[in-house]
Amino acid sequence: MEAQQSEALSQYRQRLLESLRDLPRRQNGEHPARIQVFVNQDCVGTLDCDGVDPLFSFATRDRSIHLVELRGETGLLIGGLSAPELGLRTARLAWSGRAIDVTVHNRLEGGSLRLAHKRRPSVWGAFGQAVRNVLPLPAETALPLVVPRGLVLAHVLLLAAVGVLIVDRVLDRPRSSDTGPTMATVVGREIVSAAQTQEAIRRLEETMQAMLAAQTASSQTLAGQQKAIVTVQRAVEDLGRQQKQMGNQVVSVQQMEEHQERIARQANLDVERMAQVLMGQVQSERAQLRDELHSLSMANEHLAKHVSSMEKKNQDLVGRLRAAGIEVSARVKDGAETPPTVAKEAGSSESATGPSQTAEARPDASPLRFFVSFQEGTTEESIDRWFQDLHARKGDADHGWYSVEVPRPPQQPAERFMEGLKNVKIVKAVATTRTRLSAR
Amino acid sequence: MESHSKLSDLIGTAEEFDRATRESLPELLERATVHTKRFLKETGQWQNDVTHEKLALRWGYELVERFLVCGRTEVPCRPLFLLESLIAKYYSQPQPLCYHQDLLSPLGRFLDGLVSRAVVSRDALMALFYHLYGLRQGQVVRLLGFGAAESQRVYKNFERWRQAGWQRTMEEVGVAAGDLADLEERQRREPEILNNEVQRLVRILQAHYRKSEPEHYPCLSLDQWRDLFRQDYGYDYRIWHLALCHECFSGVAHARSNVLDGHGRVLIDLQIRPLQKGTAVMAVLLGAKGGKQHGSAAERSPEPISSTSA
Repeated sequence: MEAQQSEALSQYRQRLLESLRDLPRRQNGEHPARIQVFVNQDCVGTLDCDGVDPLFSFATRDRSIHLVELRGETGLLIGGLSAPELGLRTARLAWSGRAIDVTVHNRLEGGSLRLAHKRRPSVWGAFGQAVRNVLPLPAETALPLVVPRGLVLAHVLLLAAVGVLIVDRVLDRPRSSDTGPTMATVVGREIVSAAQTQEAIRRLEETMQAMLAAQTASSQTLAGQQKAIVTVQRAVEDLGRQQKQMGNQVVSVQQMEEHQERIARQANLDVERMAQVLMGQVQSERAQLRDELHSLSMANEHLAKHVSSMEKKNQDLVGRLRAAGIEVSARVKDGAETPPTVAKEAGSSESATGPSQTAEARPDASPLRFFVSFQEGTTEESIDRWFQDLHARKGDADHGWYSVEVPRPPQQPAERFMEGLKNVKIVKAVATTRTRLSAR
Repeated sequence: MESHSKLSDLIGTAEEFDRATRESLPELLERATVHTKRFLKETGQWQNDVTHEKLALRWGYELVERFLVCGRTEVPCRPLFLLESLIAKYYSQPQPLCYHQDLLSPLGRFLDGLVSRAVVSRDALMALFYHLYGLRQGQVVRLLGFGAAESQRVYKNFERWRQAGWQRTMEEVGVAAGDLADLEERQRREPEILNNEVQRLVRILQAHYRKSEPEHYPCLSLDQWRDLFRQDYGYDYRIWHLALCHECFSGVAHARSNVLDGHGRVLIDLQIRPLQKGTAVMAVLLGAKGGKQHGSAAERSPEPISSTSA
C-alpha cells in the first residue's frame, strides 16, 4: 500500500516536471486575443491585443505593485515581473513573436502599471528589416520598428531591372546562333550587338543613376520622417509629462479643496459650539436674573408687610403714648409730687417719629466701643487724623488692634455705623470685643 | 551538485537563465516543495501522509512555474536565491493557499483544481457552471443575460477546455484516473450525499478564491442584481462573480427563473468530466425520448449544441 502510494507520488512529480519542461512550448503556442492581467495575484483586467490601441493601465492607491502576471485565456502564465517597493521598473516580456512593454511605478501613495502590446512586424516590416541588415543605414536613421518602404522599393526596382537585362541577354544569344554566320553578318551583328550592349549599358547606367537618385531621395525622406518621428516622440513624452503633472496638480487641488472643506466644516462646528455655549450662558444668566427678580419681589413684598406692621405698631405706640400722657397729666393734676421731667420726656417721646427711633435712642446715652485694625503701612498721623475725624478716643493698641470709644455715636444702628467704617481706605478690619478675641 | 553550484552562480542573460533552470528543474521543484512543507509545518497544517505530500508538490510546482516566468526579467541574478526570495515573498502573504483538511480528498482536490483554475482561466470559469450545476452553454447564456456576440466571446475557445484544459487541470492537482473512477462510482451510488459534500466544499473554496476577483466585484443584493440585468451592463461582473459565488448565483437564478422554463432553483449537480460533443448529442436524443439528461437543475429542454458549447 505504502509502495503504491509512493509510486503514485513519484508519478505525480514526474508529471509536474514534464509540465514544467513543456512550459516554453506551451507559451509559444499561446496566441491570446486578450491577456489577463494580474497584480499581486488579483485579476485587475484584460489587455485586448486586437484593439486599435493595445494599452492597459492600472493604479493602486493604498498598496504598491510587487508582482505583475500576464496569463492567456487558458490561464497559462506567459509573462511575469517583480517590482521593487518604491521606484520604477520596466521590462519587455516577449513570447511567440509578441512583446509587451511593462512599466511599473511604485510610489509611497500607491503604484501604477502600464502595459503596451507590440504587434508582430508585418511582411513589409520583416522584409525591410532584412534589407536593412544587408544594407545598414546611417546610424542616426537606424531606428527600430520604422519600415523604410521607399528604400525597399528602390532596391526591388533595381533588382528587377537587372533581372530583366540578364533575361534579355540570355534570350538574345540563341536567336543570334539560328542561321549560319558570315563574316560580314558576324561583324555586322557584333557591331550591332556592341551597339545594343552599349545602349543597354547606357540604359542601365541611367537606370542606376535614377535608382541612386531615388535612393538618395528616399534616404532623405526617411531621415526627415525619422526626425519627425523623433520630434513626435519628444512631443508625446512632453505631453505625457504634462499629463502627469496635470494629474498631480488635479490631485493636489482636490486635496486642497478637501482640506479647505474640512477647515470650513471645523469652523462651522466651532461656531455652532460657541453659539451653543453663549446661548447656554445667556439662558442661565436670564434664569438667574429671573430668580433674582423673583427674590427681590418677594423681599419687596416682605418689606412692605413689615413696613405695614411697623406702622401699625407705631400707631399703637402713639395711642399708648397719648394714653400715658393723659394719665400723666391726670396724675399731675391729681398730685404735686410727680416730677415735671416725666411730662417733658413724654412730650419728647411723642414728638419722635416711630418706635425704631425710640429703640435707637438708647445707645445715644452710652459711648460706642469697638476695635479697629488699619492697613499695613498706615502712618500714625493718618490714624490720629481718623480718630479726630470720628471724634473718638484712641485706646491702647494690641497686636495691631486699637480700641476705639466714640462718646457720641451717630443717629444710626451700631452695626451700620461700623460697616461704614470698614469702607474707609485705611481701615483693615473692625470688630467688637468678642469678635476680636475670637479672631485672636 | 553541479547544478546546485550553477544555480548559485551569477547568471547574466535570459538565455543563460533558461538553460540553467531547464537543466535543474527537479532540484528547483524539490526546493520549492521543501519550503512549502516547512510553511505547512510551521503553520500547523502538516501531516505525514501522501495527500499532504501531493499538496506540497502542487504548490511547489506553482511556485517554480512563477519563478521560471518572472526570473527571466530579473537577470542578472543568482537563480537559487531568487527562487527562495520569491517563495519567501509568496508565503509571507496572509492565507497564501487554500488549506482545509477536507480538500485533501480526491473530491476536494478535484474541486480545488476546478475553482483555482477558474480564477486564471476564462475557459475554466465558464466550465464551472457545467461542472457544479450541470448547466450548458445555452442555459448559462440565458441565465447571465448575454446576447449572441457576448456568448460567442466567452465561449469562443471553450473547446480547448474539453480537449486539454480539464485534463491538464486534473494532472496539475494530482487527481489520477483511479481517483476519477472512484468519484464516478460514488456519484452513481450516492449522488445526493456527494452533491451535499460538494456544496459544502464549494463554499470553502469560493470564499478563498473569490478574493482574487477584481476589488469592485462584491456580492450584490438581489435588487442590485436585478438593476444590473435591467440596465444591461457588467457582463464580466456576472461571469466572474456568479461563477464564484453560490449564494448570489442561486438568488439570480431564482429571480430569472422565467428564462429557464420556470425552473429557477439551481442545485449543485456535480459533473466530473467535461461534456463531449457526442455525449451532448446523445443527451439531446435521450432527452427527446424522455431519458435522463445531465444536470438536474433546470436544463431539460433540448437545445442545439454548437461547436463551442459546454
